Amino acid sequence: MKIENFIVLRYLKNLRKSKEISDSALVVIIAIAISVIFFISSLSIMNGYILGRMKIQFEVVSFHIIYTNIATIDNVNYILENIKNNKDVRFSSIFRESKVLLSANQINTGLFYFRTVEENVFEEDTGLSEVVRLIEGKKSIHNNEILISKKTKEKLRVNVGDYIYLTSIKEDADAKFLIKRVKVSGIFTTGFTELDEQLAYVNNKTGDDLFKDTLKYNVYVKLKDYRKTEDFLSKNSFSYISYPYTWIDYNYNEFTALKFEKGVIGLIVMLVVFVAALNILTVINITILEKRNDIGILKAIGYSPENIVVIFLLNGIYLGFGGLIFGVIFGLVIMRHLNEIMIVFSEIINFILLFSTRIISIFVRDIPVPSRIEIFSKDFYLDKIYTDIYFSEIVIICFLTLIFSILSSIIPSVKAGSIKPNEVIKNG
Amino acid sequence: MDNLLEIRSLYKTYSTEAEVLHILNGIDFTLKKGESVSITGESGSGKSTFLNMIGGLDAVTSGNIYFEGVDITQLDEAELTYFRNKKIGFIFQSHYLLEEFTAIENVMIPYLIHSFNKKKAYKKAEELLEFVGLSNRLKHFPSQLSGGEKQRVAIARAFINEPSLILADEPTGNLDERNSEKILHLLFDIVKNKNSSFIIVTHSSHIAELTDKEYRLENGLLYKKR
Repeated sequence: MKIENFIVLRYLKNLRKSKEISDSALVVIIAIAISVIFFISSLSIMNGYILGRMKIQFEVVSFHIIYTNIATIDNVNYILENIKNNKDVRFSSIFRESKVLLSANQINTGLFYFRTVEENVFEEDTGLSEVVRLIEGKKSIHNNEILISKKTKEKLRVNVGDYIYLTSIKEDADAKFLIKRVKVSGIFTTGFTELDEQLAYVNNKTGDDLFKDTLKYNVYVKLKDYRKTEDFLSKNSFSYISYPYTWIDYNYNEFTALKFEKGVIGLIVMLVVFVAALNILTVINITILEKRNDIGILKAIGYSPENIVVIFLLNGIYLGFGGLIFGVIFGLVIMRHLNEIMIVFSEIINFILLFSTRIISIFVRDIPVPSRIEIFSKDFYLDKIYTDIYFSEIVIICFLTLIFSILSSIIPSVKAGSIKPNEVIKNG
Repeated sequence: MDNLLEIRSLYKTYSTEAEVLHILNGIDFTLKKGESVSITGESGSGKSTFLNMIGGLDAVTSGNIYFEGVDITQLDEAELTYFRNKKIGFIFQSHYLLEEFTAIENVMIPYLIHSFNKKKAYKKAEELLEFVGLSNRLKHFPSQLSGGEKQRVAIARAFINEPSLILADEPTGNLDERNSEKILHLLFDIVKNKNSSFIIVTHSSHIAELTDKEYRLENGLLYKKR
């Protein structure tokens, strides 16, 4: 294959000699590069979202395992005692959960699942502390203090140091309202706006005042490796005092749906890469038309049809490889700076919009000034776009792009291999 | 002298929708090792077709072409490819040099097919280009060479694998008289020097006279003139 490589590299080196071929080759390389950027972007945004979502779920919402409905604090301590020295456990602690209404300034939040946790949980549970990011105040929940999310703060129009009311319904026959006044100690965000709306923290002591003894206890467990959940549970079951829930029970459908979505998006973008790679067929066809005499003479001096096929296959592979290299490099750079790029992009759009409005307002009176456009609204879902790409996915993208390049090159290359030298030389 | 080439009852016909064209009508021909032969004839008489069939570029309709005792009409594509590379050197009316390669690379290319030894190929190509008087043009691209120089490179290319037979199809057809003369002398010198057999297709009786034997192709048959 050395001689074929020698010839094709020289063809590519001298591409600019033929404007038609060089223009087409450039278009192919750009098309493949863009499609690869799409491929990398789609996968990394989906990965980022899934991983971000999993991390938040594991650290804040579902944990890896929850031992639920534990009636007494003695039973809680028994479970904690049994699992705290387990080598697979990263952290475990106690919490209680109930539906609570938060009110302030004659506004309320609506009912949401409210959790009471250990007072020092943010110092000890580093995973939770990492995800629950402090915006204002302090990340501490002493007695009669509450840590609320940015979203709740905006909804209730409160600041750090203000008081809000917690209203709960006693879960027994009386069904009395239980009300507690607490002081806002800090404001946080998880980055997932949708989750933020559902979260607020008080310590267990404050929770005891509110819920009295009507609410049962839970123990949450975070493992070092979430994939060992089932294994851990099979060895650490306390069925007579609690029922364990795992992250799979809570999240299976959501994570399965997300992975399915990722698969579908991956498939669609893969087709885009395939269509981009199909352009190679055109370039090879043009090259063959221009190089008919070369093919004829090469065959006359002893090149086999297979040699000719390999020359043009390599041509297609190199074009695909060129697009791939640019696509991977730009794709990774764009993903690394996606949030900054989105901001710059938003600014440009807003500038154009405002500038156009000003120009039009010279001719048309009372034209309304458009509101700012945010391509990625932080109020909608996430506070930023999370991205992550696996090395194995980059390898798959490279492999697929090269396979598509080969597939696109096969037909014209075989056609080139079947050119009869006597016809070309006679006609040339 | 041993026979290098023996052709028996060679026929070539082309079928079109309207008619069947009989190009060669049962040619018998023999070429000895080291012998040079010229073939003259009118345009369209089938000279180039005859040459292409000897070189394995065109299929025969019927008949046999024995080259060093082997019937090349029975060879498969891979064997024909090898045969063309090792046994035949082609020189066409047009140089057919690859524009992207330098003069020396164009000469090297036939050598590199079966053994990618660039150093050895370079040395051989350099010697040949020196022989054809282009030692100062090794790194020039075809676009930087004159018509005569390009044809000299094509001649050097034909000899790189030391073929037993050189097939030249009007090699000076595109050159002016002065250049034609020079190229022809060069061609005959190199054929003699390398002891190759040589078949040249030409319109020129002057060129034909330079060969050991002269043939004329007429009505699909080969007539010996001398």
